[in-house]
Amino acid sequence: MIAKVNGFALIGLDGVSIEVEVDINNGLPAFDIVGLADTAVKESKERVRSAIKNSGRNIPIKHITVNLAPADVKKEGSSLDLAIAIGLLKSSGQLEADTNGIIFLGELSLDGSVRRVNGVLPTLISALNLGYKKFIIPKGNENEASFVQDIDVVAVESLKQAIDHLSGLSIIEPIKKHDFKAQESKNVYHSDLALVKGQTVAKRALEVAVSGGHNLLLVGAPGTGKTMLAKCIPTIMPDMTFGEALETTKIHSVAGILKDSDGIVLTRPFRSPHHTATTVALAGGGSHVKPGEISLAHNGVLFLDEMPEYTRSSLEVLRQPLEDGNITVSRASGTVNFPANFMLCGSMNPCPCGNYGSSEKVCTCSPSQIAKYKSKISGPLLDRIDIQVEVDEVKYAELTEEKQSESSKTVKNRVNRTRAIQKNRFLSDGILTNSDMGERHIQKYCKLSKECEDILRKAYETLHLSPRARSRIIKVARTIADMELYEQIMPAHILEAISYRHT
Amino acid sequence: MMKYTKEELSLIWLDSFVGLEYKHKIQIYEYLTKSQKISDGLMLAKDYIVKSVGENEFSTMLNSAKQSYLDYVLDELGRREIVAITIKSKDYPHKLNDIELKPLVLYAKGNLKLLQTKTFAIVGSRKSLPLSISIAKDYASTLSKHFTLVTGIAEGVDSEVIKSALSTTKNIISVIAGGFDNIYPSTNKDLFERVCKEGLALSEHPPMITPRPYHFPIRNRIIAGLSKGVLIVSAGKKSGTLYTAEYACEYSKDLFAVPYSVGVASGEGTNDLIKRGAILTDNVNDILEFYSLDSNDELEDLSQAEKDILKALSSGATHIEKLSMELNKSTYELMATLSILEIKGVIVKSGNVYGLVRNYSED
Repeated sequence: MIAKVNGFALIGLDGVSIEVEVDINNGLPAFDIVGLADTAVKESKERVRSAIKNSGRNIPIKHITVNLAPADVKKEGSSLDLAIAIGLLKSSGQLEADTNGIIFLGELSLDGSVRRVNGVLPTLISALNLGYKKFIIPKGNENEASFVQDIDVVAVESLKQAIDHLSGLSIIEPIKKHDFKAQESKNVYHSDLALVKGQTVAKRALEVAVSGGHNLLLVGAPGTGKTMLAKCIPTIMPDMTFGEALETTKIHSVAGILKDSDGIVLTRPFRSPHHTATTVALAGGGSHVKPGEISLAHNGVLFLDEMPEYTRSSLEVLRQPLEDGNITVSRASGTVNFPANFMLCGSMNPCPCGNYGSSEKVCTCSPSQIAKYKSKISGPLLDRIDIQVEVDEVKYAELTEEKQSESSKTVKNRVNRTRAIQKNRFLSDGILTNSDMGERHIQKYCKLSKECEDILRKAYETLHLSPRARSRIIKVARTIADMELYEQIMPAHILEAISYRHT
Repeated sequence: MMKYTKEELSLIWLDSFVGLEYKHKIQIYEYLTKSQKISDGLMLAKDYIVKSVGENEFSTMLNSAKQSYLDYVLDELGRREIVAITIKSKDYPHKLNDIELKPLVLYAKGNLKLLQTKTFAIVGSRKSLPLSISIAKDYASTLSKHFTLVTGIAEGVDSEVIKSALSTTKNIISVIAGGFDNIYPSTNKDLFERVCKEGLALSEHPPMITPRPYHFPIRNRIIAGLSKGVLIVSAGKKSGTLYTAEYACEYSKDLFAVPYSVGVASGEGTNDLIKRGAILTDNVNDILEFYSLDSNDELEDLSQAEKDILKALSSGATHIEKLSMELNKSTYELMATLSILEIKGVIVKSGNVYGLVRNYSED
């Protein structure tokens, strides 16, 4: 008898439902899995065999064929184990139940227990869009599943539980749904601006950058606290909305970095890939396409420490996502689109030895070495970084100073206010922050008084600004004006923005 | 093509033998002046040449003592739009008459009129602090209104001086160490092209010569020799810049040096110079006043906030956080004022440290 059970395969963040067909024939005893299955799926027959045996059922000594349809989609990973086992039990007549419309997810252990799998949240959402409403998933994935409304999810700990539930022997209640609002208070970060001593210039730059969604470059000698400052960026970003949290969780779930206990990503991600990271590690890819660091940083911060040390090609990969907020990864197995809307924060030394500009240490680099070091970040990429700020050594006296500086919470409140102003302004423009403004928006929203124009022109002449710097300065000035609740950009705002230029 | 006199031609011809030492060239030139044709003069000098540089060199020279060779040399110069200024040319800067081993031929490209103007040299080491580079930039833009600036073409101070002058009056002479075909550092090739077009580039070597390390200090004698005064912006203890200072003293030029604070290694050189009598220059007006030039230092209408900052900065370059503590203002308020002072050219910025480049006293 043929049995059909549904599983699910993800391609990127979306997927297709997989029909698991099991047929048992007379013939030499065998267990075949067909339908473009990868090694992890092929190996599942051993797990299924032991799990069924150890759940008190048996494997018929016959020729068993498992077909995974559609046969032209590559199946990967161990999440089809449960569906195969249920199909086998149904086919051999050991389980009589209606499994129509239920999607099974889960990896089997030899003793019959069901282990957690990656990508449950995107699977549920994607399957819901395809019209599936009933799911049986591993207990370990219960938390992340609890945030999807309008579906029936049963979490099981073992194959036996699943069998008993399906056959009506002991029905398991569907899992309780979590309310996102109730979770928000769990939003905790380990860093706080109050813990960063001194660095008032850099802190202000951080606030401006976050308020207007500008990308940021921190320049300073090693050990001056660039990383510490960068880690504070998520703490002053506005709280994640449910939509944002769900998007980020989906990506983290697919990548397998979602923590069991959290269920949903509530803190804005802070990703700092090492500079030896490959292009694929940053952008995403692989034979079965996985999201890269830039997608894992979606709705959060991508921190590139020692930016010039990254290979040119891996830095250039950032350009398209910085513009579009997503990345398209094309591989032989298909083309996948991952969201990648992150704030870029880079850090670099002023020169290869790190002492250029220091009054106490001697820089041993030649000017051409310094020029070469700086040129490693290409012009087009620098164009997308609106703010550059110098971070310098904090004197020991300042480190031990008792005076507490502003906490992240206070700054965050101001950021929320500034973001709200921008949101109102750009209601009809389809953008969210000042940094997204194009030339057209700048002309519309950043009218400069004659005084401001004069300052810009003079600055252009005396400080040798590049023409491209102009729109960056205006955008930053717009943000500063918003922070200070000014309708018009004032000269002071332009002047402050000028001090954040690239040098 | 340039018209050269007979004397000039024989000097250009002679200078094309790069293997000859300076003293030999002088001697041979004496012989060449004694006859109408170069080949005849060469025969007169035969004994001397064979004795001092050898038979081989003499036969090479003799073989080249014909019009076709001279035409070739002139062609090579003309093709590159290079003008050869010899000690017998009327364009030859007489300031160079006082220096030792004055170049027999100066190869020049650009605005020759600059040689007749008042000149002032600004030099500094390649590895300078950002603050000194900003200072060089700032002084250069002021001084180029009164002088033609003379410098090399190295990275760091030299390049900034050139750029600054090119963006203002274009009064700039760059003396390079090798021939015009081989600019060192090669990254400054574009800058060199601009100097040729808008200012003046000089070299004492024919175009094909590659610069050798010893060419650089020798070249500095021309920089010092051409100039009325020399400003040393920065110099390490063993910096090549110190050679320029030595030459300037030797030729009794006015020597100015920018001081450094104690313990800054890259400034030891200039502080030594000041100890030995160079004029301490912490302000461009020190130079302008020395030459009784109009310093035009009236700082137009400064606001109270600007004045406060200048007053605070008058005790030396200061970190913005320290300024913020002293003036009791938040750093971002200060940044706006600092930017405008920077635009007005009163202060320079290096990272988060700001320094004065004009004298400021509260009246």
